[in-house]
Amino acid sequence: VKSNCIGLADLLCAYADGELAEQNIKLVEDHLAICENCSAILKTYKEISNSVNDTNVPAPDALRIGVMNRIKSESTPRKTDTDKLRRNYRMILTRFMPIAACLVVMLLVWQFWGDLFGVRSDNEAGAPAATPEEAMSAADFQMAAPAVAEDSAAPGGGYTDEAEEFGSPESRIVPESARSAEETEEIMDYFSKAFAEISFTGQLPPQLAGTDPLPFGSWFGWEMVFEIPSADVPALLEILEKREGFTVSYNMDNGESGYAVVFYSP
Amino acid sequence: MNIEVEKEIIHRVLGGDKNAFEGLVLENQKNVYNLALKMTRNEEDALDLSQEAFVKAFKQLGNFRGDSRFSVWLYRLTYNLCIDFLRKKKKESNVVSLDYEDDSGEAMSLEIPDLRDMPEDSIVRGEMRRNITESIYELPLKHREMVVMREITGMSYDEIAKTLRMNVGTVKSRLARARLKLIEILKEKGTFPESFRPIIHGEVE
Repeated sequence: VKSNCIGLADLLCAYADGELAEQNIKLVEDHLAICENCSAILKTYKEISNSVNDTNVPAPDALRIGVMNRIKSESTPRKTDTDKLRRNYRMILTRFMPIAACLVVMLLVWQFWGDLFGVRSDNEAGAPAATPEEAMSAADFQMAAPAVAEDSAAPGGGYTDEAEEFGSPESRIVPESARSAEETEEIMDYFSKAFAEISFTGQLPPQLAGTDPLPFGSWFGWEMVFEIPSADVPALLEILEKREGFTVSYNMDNGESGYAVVFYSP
Repeated sequence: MNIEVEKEIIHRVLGGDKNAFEGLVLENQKNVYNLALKMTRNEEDALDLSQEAFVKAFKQLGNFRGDSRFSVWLYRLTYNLCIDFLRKKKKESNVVSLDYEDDSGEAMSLEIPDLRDMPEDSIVRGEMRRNITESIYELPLKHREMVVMREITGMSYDEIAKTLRMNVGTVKSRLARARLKLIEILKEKGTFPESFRPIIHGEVE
């Protein structure tokens, strides 16, 4: 009986206040019928309510008079136009959301493309017809230079069908910043110098293992996606952040290692 | 005052008719004043705080969205002003000790040394009633505010929950505990009429 009463404390209180859920009313009333103590408690609750109400005093006139005097000197409150706020918000949504959505899609495509390219390069490196150096020579990335395009498209140039589809020079977009072979050369140089400063600890990906890192050109600039041990991320960030034009992002989902995306825009 | 009349008054005030605000003051002043009085236990402070609450309500009337009743919104303003006031007072002086602990806390006390100017003294109708009022002041703040909110303003649990920014379940259990504690205090005072002398089973909290 005792534990019942304690369990009923909340219910009894809500019952006294008329706030008890329909399905519990009978439960409480059944208990009240057999428990004198709880009946007495209920009675006390009502007494408390009455007492508090009885001890409520009328507000002094000074309150009303004081308030009315004070608001005389206040300016009329202005209605906060929540509709207007909502309209503004909607306008922002309708005008800028499509642009934001386009940017997101472009970024995704761009990143995915980079990943695809990275995988293809690895496969290509293993292909008998092309040594890693050939497959990933700087020329490979000189998308704009017509001479290079001819070279690469020539039979025996080392490209598989797959490579043709995904990585042939014609299929790539030329960064605004690299219109000529010379410029591309400069970019490569800049990249390799930057990466040479980084002291990596782990097993390096092919793009980084060679003497020159090989960025991939896109509309926006030069990008390189590669796998990297997470221990090397701080070094990568430290060096590249010091240099102009680099943006580094990384995703270390595996914990020990993940992908880094180095973007360079001159 | 029905909600339509209330809306009409608010509309008029926002339209520039400041005098219309008096209608809202008249309608709510008793509850607001008593709320402040039961929270602060001092007539002067209660007058200041309730005046402040009304002026604040006037200034911010443009922000009142009408999702709840005006009175509930006003009680919230009053409550916040009272809490700020009590906190400030506690900081300024150690005479008033307002230990506000969480539900698990045990040591809770409210000590106000001077009991001479009790506003209720003039209107008490017997020892029992006076003791109940006294006992409310002896409740820890978190319990007192529950009893005060419920008994003075008559707000629903849902409205109390919104006013005090807690969930309805907390209101329910805290109010139940507050009342049980109140009964315990009354028992200690030994002033329960013979007709109802409840025995609390087990420990409260």
